[in-house]
Amino acid sequence: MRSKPNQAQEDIMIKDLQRVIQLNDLQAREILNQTQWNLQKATNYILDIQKSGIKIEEQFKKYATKQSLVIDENGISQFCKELEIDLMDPVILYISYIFKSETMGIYTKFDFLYGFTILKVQSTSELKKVLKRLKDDLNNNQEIQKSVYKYCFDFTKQKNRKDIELRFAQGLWETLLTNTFPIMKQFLKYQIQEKDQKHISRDTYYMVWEFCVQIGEDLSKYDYKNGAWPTFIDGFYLYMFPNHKQ
Amino acid sequence: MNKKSEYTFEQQKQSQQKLQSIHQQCQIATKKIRQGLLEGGSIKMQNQEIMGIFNDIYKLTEDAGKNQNSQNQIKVKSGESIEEQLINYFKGFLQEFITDIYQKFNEFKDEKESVLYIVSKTYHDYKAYSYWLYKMFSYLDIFAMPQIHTNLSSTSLKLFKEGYFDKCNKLILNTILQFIQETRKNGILLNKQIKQLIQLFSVMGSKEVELKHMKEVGEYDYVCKKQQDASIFYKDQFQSHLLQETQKYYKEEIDDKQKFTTPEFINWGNSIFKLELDMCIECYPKSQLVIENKLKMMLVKDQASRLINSPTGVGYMLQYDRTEELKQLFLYILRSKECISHLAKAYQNYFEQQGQIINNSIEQEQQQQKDGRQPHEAELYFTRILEIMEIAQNILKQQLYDEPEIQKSYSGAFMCVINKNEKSPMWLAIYTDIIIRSEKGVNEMETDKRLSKIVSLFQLLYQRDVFFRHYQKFLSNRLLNQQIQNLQLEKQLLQKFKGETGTNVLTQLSSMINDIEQSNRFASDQQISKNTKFDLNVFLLSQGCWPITTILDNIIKPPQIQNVLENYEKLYLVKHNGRILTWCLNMGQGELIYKIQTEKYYLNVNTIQMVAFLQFNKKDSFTIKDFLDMTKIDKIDLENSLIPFVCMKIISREKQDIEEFTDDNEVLKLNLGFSNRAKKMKLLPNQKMQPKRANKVKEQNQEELQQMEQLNKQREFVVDSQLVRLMKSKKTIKHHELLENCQSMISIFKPDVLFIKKRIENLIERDYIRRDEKDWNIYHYQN
Repeated sequence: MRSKPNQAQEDIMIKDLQRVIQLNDLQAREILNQTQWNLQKATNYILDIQKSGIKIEEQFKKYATKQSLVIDENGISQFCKELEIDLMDPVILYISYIFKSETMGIYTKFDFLYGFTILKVQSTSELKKVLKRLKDDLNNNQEIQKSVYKYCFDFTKQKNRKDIELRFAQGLWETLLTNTFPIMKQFLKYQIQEKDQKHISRDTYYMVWEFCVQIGEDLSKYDYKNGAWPTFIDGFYLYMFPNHKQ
Repeated sequence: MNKKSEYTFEQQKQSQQKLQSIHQQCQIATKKIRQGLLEGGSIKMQNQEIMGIFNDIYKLTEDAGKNQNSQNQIKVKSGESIEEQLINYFKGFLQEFITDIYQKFNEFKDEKESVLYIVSKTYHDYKAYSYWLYKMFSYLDIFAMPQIHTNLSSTSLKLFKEGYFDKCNKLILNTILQFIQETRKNGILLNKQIKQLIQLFSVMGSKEVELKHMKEVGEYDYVCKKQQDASIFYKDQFQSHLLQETQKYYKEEIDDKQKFTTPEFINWGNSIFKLELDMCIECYPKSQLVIENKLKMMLVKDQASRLINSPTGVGYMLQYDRTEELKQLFLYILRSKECISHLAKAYQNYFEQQGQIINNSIEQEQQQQKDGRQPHEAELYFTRILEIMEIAQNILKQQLYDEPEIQKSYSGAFMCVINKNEKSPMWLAIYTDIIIRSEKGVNEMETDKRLSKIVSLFQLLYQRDVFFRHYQKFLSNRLLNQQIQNLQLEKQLLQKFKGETGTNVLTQLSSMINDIEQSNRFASDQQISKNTKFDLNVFLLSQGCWPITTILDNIIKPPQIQNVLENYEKLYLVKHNGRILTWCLNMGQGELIYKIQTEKYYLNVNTIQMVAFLQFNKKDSFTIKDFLDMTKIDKIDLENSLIPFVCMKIISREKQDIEEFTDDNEVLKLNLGFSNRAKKMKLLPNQKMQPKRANKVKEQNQEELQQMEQLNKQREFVVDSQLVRLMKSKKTIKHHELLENCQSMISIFKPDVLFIKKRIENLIERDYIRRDEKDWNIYHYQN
């Protein structure tokens, strides 16, 4: 067996897998990773999920629109309602992360099948029971936080673009970061001032996380002169300390 | 056994006698020496006398040595060996002397002059005394002393230290310090005798010495074998006190002199340095360095900032041309090199201020004299800047010895001034143009001087790309005007710019010059001007290299012009097949001969004007519509071209002279009654003979904006390519390193950190580079 396929080979295998069942790149990649890029094993895994997922599929149908094969925003708000969580609750982003859902506002059938299987639950009511654990994870485990945070960039991003709109980024920062990192409240205020920037690049978005973790409240650690911070964050620093501008 | 002991006893007795005789001889000798010393003359000792004692000791110890070998030990009566006894004799004689001199010292110790005298005298005597004694006993040094790990000289020193010096060193020290103090107060070195006293301190610490007699000067001295011991003692016992005193003394003095003006203080300081140096060299050379450092610290370093920035400091000196004082100040500050930065800063500040005054004054004057055709503000500005730069340069050279740090301040100051003025890049281009235009006929030396001045201004400029954009326009005008054209000069200057910016950047400009050379060569090769009646001079301009935005190739030319141009085209295309020629009629100039009323007038016009005006060969009047149809000249160009004719009354029109051609049916008529005294006339389109167009200003602004945008794009491109080049060669690089390298490599303008950072972000987004996963201060190049 090939020990480690290259990028092109990976892409082909992902395509192959997607022929078996409709799933997105993220999911395909994740499953192939789990099965050491053995296409046969991966296919079997998917078929297993499908076989054992009849009950989950029923759940899916409950929220899905009649004509469409996906759950749209209405379905999601219904889903949230039954989970008794707010639509803006960060945990829903974590759930999307577990589902490896690709586009915001839409859940596909495989999202449900895959996600529920991973969480080892069969229904929304069962999912509700593990919800507390998920929330704890999200609040206390920085690794998970980071993964969810990074995932959300792609989740929010439109397919033909490389960056995300500032307002979406702000939404994410507010939902995911303000609770853990109070400095982000100031950060969001600064952005009201900043009018030139309309989009946030992946690098800037990722670096905001680094900023929170490494600098946090103590801005004296911030190295404006020599640090490789993106200019957007530099701007925030100058907003806080206008005197430091040279 | 018995016999043996008898023998030894006999021997002991003999040795004892010998010892005694040696002792007696020595006593006689020492008395003589003392007598000699008392009289103050040189010591007269017979060599024989000394040698006698030496020989006796030699023999005695030799015998004793033999016996020592045959028998284990020979004890003298008191349990001491012969050597030990001899050593004791030696010590005894010394101690006797020491007791004497210490007594003398005690008699005189109340008065510092006498202390000084007595100590130096007795020390000298002791050395002399020890020396002669040493001569007598010197055999012991070879035979006996090594066994007890010392030598005679060291013993002599040790005894002196213990018996004399240790008892009175405090007093000696105080005496020395008092004398130094007095010297400082009087400003002149009074008594060199303290040197001897200080000598004591530099010798007393050593454990191993050799006593030497310098016959030429009649001096005796201990020579230290191990400097380290001696110098530690010297530092502890003398130097530290001296330094303390020095510091105390000058602290008060300096406090006292705070009211001095800078030059006064420097004079005083210099005199102090001189005096102290004299004292060091004369009395305590070993401490010269530390004393000097201390003084530098107190008199220069601690005072530098005050001296430089005081009301009589650098600013004052520069303003009132007190060059000599400045020089003195500089030399004074130079004693402590790190303080030069203060001076450099003051120098920079002063010239920055002066420059700023020029910056401001030009702006104000500009408002005052708007219409008076004074020299161009750019000329005014740079003439003044150059003047003050020359002043600064002269001072730097003559008074400040071209000190490197101040050199930096020099460029720093003017860089700041010139770049603060937003118009500098454009003005420098204008100024250069003015200089070059006035350059014809001036001798080469002068030209070279002027050019290097322009280059020195250019060196200071940040926004060189803006400068070149303007420069290109002026260059183009100069090159296309045969009267001003000076290819040699242009090349020379361009070469100099190239040297400053590195190659590559100025290809457009050099190809412009190249074009002209080529055109001239082509013209002379083909002898075009001679072939035709029509005097034609064509410039072949490479497309894209010249600041030409409009190419008016679709204009219908009158046959006279058309034929000539076609002819030229043919000739050219034979030589250079496959090239495309288009005519820029708006760029060309020519002279028309206009015959009317038996008079000949020479009209200086551009080619479009020529095309338009030649229409009047057909008939005497046209409507504007006719003109537009016949020539296909743009309406605005037509206005610009023909209104000068109207203004000069060559053509008459129905409406006001300077008014837009709004009515296509308006008729333009040849003024048949035209006459003018001037036979040569310049009719080229100019600002004054143009209708005021409302949207023109807007257009200009827009154009300006567009150009700025273009410039910005260019800069982005320059930075991007530099960044990628760096990343490509280094693969992995730290953020600040990348930043610095990038800044230093771009010479055509000065990108700020923010600008570069934005470009880095852009490159990350375009996947040229990526951040390191762990250390986000590091970038990797993405292949």
